[in-house]
Amino acid sequence: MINTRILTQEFDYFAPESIKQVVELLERHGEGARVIAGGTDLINQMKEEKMSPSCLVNIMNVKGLRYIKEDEGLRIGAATKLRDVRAYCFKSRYVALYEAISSLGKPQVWNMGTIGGNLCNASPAADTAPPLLVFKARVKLVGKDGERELLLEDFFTGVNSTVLQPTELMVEIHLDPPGDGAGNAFLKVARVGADISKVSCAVFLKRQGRTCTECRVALGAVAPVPMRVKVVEEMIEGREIEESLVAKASEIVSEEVKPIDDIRSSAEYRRQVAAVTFRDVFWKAWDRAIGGKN
Amino acid sequence: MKKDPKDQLSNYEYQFIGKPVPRHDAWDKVFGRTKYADDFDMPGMLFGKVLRSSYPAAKILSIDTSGAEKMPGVAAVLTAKDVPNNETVTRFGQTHQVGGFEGLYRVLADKKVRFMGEAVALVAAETEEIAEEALARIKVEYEQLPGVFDPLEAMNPDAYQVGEGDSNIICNYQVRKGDVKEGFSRSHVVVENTYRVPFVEHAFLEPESGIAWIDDSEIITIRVSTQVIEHFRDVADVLGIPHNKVRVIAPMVGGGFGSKEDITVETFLALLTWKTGKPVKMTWTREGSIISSSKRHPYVMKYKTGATRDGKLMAMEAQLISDAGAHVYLSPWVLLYSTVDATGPYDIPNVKVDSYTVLTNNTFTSANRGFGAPQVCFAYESQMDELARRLSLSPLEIRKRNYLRKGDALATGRVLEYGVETEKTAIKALEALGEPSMPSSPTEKIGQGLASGMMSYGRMTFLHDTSRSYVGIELDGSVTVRCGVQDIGGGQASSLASIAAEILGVPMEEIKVFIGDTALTPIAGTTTATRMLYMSGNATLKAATEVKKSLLPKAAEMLEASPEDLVFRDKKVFVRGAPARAIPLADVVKACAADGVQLYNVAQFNAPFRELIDFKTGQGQVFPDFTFGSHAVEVAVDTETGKVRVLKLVACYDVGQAINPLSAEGQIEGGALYGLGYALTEEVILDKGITLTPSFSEYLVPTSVDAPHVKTIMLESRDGAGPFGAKGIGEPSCNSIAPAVANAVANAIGARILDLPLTPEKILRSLQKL
Ligand SMILES: Cc1cc2nc3c(=O)[nH]c(=O)nc-3n(C[C@H](O)[C@H](O)[C@H](O)COP(=O)(O)OP(=O)(O)OC[C@H]3O[C@@H](n4cnc5c(N)ncnc54)[C@H](O)[C@@H]3O)c2cc1C
Repeated sequence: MINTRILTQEFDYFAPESIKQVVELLERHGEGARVIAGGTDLINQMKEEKMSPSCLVNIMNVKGLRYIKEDEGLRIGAATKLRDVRAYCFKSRYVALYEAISSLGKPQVWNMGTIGGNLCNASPAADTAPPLLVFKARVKLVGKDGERELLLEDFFTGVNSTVLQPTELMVEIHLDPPGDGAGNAFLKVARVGADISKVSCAVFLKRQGRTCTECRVALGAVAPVPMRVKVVEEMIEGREIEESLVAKASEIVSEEVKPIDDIRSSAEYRRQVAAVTFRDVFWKAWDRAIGGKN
Repeated sequence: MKKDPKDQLSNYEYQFIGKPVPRHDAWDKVFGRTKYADDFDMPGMLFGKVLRSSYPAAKILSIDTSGAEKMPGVAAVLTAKDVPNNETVTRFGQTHQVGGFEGLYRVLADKKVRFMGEAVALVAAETEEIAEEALARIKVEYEQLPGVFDPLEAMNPDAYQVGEGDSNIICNYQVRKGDVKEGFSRSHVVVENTYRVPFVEHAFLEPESGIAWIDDSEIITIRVSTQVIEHFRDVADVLGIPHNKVRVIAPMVGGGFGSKEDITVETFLALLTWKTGKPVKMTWTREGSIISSSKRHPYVMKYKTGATRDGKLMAMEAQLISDAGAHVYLSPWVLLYSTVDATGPYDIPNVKVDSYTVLTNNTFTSANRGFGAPQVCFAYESQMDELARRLSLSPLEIRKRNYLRKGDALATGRVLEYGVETEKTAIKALEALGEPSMPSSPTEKIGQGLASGMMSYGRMTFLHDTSRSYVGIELDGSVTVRCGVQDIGGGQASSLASIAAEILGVPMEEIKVFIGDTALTPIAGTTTATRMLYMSGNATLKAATEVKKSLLPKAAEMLEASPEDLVFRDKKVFVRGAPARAIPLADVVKACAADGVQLYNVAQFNAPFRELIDFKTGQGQVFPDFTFGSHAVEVAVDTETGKVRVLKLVACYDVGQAINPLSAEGQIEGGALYGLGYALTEEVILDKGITLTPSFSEYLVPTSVDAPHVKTIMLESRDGAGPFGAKGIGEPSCNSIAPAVANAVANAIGARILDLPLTPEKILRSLQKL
């Protein structure tokens, strides 16, 4: 039944304290079991009957899932609250992630929602995805067959679907160290101040003087999964940056995206605005890149 | 809030009126202590739920409730056959211009369903979960019907019939003044456009909610979030019991905006409690509310306006078509407002207005803050700016040359007898807007826009509106007001306290206002039509004045002064000019009580009573008075994304007299944001009768992060029909904001968008970038 005031569904509920227990519970309860972190996506989906798990395994009491540490880049526990990630990334070398979370909901959502939840929910518009993609994030998954690590790019398989196996949970997100001369930025276009993206875009780049030595571009809400635009990255990497090149690149962005019409916008609009957003984010990241002289 | 001293008659002679005092209920609301409808529980209560139609247009072939009835925990399952008087027919006056100018309502659908939100069955169960499950087990067999979803299509004689009458056209009005043909032939420019405005949701924070029980003396008591406690009569009629066997209590309402003017949960609750004998509570989900409650009317508005070379309006011709949705409700009256307001605050020699409201299988439409005024304001104010542009006049200049003034007549012949300060509001609003800001990027364009509006306050005069209020003084000098107002957050109760305090010289803290209870407070009418201050304020003023009058002789005797020389202030009675000669008010009251003087008064205030206007010419009086004002807006438009940022927003309205300037300012700010949503983001999207925007994730109201600073300028002409010369501000305050934004956007991008909301997609399209 759809009732957004109350949760009419019945389910078993567990709040284990170790990753091992989580995996055991998921295994024991089979397909109907589901991890719940902040619940800011899942509870809504249950109220709307888009999800009907028979068992919820709350991971917020699990030790060792909520941390942020620098260790060959940045390691974030999957159940770390958006609030904490946001605070950490403010004025850090990962400012695009700060910008993304700032644009995601408002304090109520940051206080409840987690970074792992944002990724595992796998919305095409998940706002932490574009910055994490350009930081070449890897995600660590633990399941009954042990641990595996893969690139975030390979994690998403479609709208609300990922490679996660029913007995698996995400435990860590690991971002590459940005290195010197790096700049990054994120921007999103939405209808009102607190809203799901119509288009979002993150850029990470490295710069030496006027040359861009490394560039990664990712967009959200313009395809079934948050996407990297590698053709654009390749046309920029190693090149001297000029307005004409960025303009050309933004045209390609607009051709590469695969948006749809929905209640929030039209495909046509998204295509158009993806180009503009990319251009603005690119220049922002470019200006932020500190290395080299002009 | 800043007041411009030049513009105010000073308030020195008042102690409470015109003074910005925080509302008595403000802290309770901030701390969450106020008990709204859903905050009230009763032991042993059941939960009520509504089963709604699965189709926008269908025949009901059969309903099988047995599955639901068998469930443990289910106390009642009701369908149309269980409702004593399921059908009500409301007739509107004597006019049958076109089709059946009458409304047929069914409490629960029978035979035919007309829209997706229509109630088909009711359930009461021990828990909300069981009630939900029971709904799922009711089997309704439908035969789908084609339906009609576009009002223009629905007007065709051979269109699908939404109701059971022989035409989808509910009614048609005409206004005729002068000769428009002649007017256009003498015009130098003629501007012709078709404007469209969408369905809009009221989006109050508190959804429809209430609880009902049967009290010790067998009275069906309903504590409900409503703008109209007087629906107790309708509820009694449905049950077929005497009116005095139903009591409605309205606690503080978490927003109404017109959607709690029609019955929401009351009848359902009464039926379920009457059937089960137990208390029943019902609160709609947000989705349930958006799908099934009334919406603001979408309009298609064809306007043709002509003016001379120097900008004098010569003729205006307007055709208005509103989508009434699936049921008549208040559509004929909303349309009448639009028809009277169609020409705006302008003096136009030749006018022709034809208006229609039409049934479709969309969600029904009814009252929404502004009641038909904001729709036409968007059209006529867009027209005015187009004329100005074509004539190379400034938007202010062309308006100045055409504003109605006090003593002028509307196109309906009604002479404006109270203050009309529209010109002043426009000048002030533009002054406060100041010079345009600099664009923040090369692709950003700045634009400024002005719009003026007029909207009535007080109900239509042929409804013969009345209100009453009780004012009594206690032996300790404290004051009790009883008045059946519904306080929907506008400070309706607080204003009455200010009025009683002013007259009786008793501090606000010592005034207790009891509101909204049909058993205990005198009936004060609806909190709608921006009428509460006007009507109940006047009734309270009258009652308080009578109480004071009855105390005067004794006080004069005690002070050995003449009654005319007495002043009531600070809970004392003074002799004017001799402040030392004072006695406590309580002493006077006690002495009066000993003498058997009546210490209370129940006063009734009657609005002017008129008869129905002539619907063929529109001639006559429809409203007691109007509120006039202007909005000025500055926007920045990003020409690459189409996004509009509102940089400055000035609202200048003549409130007549602000009873509590903080409350009046709150209304003006709230009205501005309400209208801003209308301008930029709000739209209930229906696809063949199915709502695609059922929650606040799809339907977008501006939140605090979207709200620009609203600069409020209140003019006080003291020339209104309300107490102390007040005018009504609740609804008029949202009137002219959308056209002001549209005019600013047009000014920025040099292209005009003819339909609301002004989405980035539409803006890019009008810039030919999409
Ligand atoms: C008002 C509001 C506004 C919002 N605005 C935005 C926005 O602007 N942008 C945006 O991107 N999102 C937005 N969201 C969505 C949501 O808040 C985020 O996606 C949030 O990060 C989800 O985290 P969570 O911990 O609450 O996830 P949950 O709801 O707990 O889980 C989401 C999904 O991920 C799974 N899951 C969670 N953690 C793990 C894990 N460690 N391993 C395996 N599976 C896991 C769950 O099983 C579930 O399927 C909004 C939500 C609300 C309520």
